[in-house]
Amino acid sequence: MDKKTFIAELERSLSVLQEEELRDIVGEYEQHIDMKVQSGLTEEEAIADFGSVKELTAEILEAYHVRADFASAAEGKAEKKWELPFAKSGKTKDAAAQQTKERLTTIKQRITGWLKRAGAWFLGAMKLWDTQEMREKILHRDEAKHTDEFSYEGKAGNVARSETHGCFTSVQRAAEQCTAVLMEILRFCWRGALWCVRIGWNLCWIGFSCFCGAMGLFCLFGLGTLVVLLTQGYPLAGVTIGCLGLNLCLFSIAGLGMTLLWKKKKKEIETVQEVKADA
Amino acid sequence: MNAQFKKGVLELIVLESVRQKDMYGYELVEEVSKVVDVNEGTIYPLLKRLTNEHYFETYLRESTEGPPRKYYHLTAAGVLYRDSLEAEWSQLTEQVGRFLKECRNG
Repeated sequence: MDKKTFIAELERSLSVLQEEELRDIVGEYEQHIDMKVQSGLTEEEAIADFGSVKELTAEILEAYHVRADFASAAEGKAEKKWELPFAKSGKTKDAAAQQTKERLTTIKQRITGWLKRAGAWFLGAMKLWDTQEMREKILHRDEAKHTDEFSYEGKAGNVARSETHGCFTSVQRAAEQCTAVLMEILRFCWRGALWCVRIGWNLCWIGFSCFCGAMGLFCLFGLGTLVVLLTQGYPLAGVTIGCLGLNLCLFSIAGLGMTLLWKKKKKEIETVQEVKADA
Repeated sequence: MNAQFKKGVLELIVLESVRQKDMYGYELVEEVSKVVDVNEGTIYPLLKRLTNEHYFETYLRESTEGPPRKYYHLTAAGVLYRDSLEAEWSQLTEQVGRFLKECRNG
């Protein structure tokens, strides 16, 4: 085999490689043969030293991480599916970029999720507040309606009485009015009693919680003294712990009473307003 | 010599040769041939692979006879790779040597 056919065969079997790479590697072999010839060998001898072209190309393709059988299958015009290490590194770079991208998107999603949740919570809170306000408004409106109805009824009665002049109807009207007044008085009394009971109950609570608070303070003082004594070596550990428990208990009762009162205050004000409105 | 043996060691020999001084392909083939009897064609793919893996850098230099020659130069990564290969080689020879000795004695 002479140089020309050897090079041609090499080029044909390495056609999967990029043009540039092909030139490069074939150039090396060409130069090698030329040098061998210069040193006194014939072209045939120089090429014979390379062994079979098939093995040689297989080895060359292996250096490019291309399968030899793939090359032979894709002889002639084939897709250039060769992989160079730098191409590989590019791929890994791409993969790394993708990974970072994915990570970023997940972080973004998480943040948006948080924001959405917070927004939903805020909206929910707003809605709740709104509905509460609405409810209050409705209540007030209902109260207003009630008072309106009362006044309207009264007016209607007056008009009816002045228009009919009938004895029976007038008596009936008078009786109706009397019962209405009585009912009103009764309602007022009932409301007043209820109010008194509530006030009494609240006062009881206030007294009880104040008492508990005072006791708690006293216990706190006792606890302080006991601790001082304990540090001085008196065997008062049990008593101290008991005092601490009592202290906590009293304070928690006082807190409970106060919070109950605080919550009741609103209702109380409402009832007072109602009573006033009714009156 | 066993072809599989040669294939493994060839890389180390090539790396070491280029570490001594920058060489072009044909020169390197001659240098390696002095150490192990090798098919001359197989050196070029090896050089190509080592260049692709950035263990070698190449540059062209004019020559008095013929076209410019492509010289190979060992990179820092190449030096590290050579050292690791050498360590592996010496470990392997040591272990195999010890094993053979034990077999002979025992």
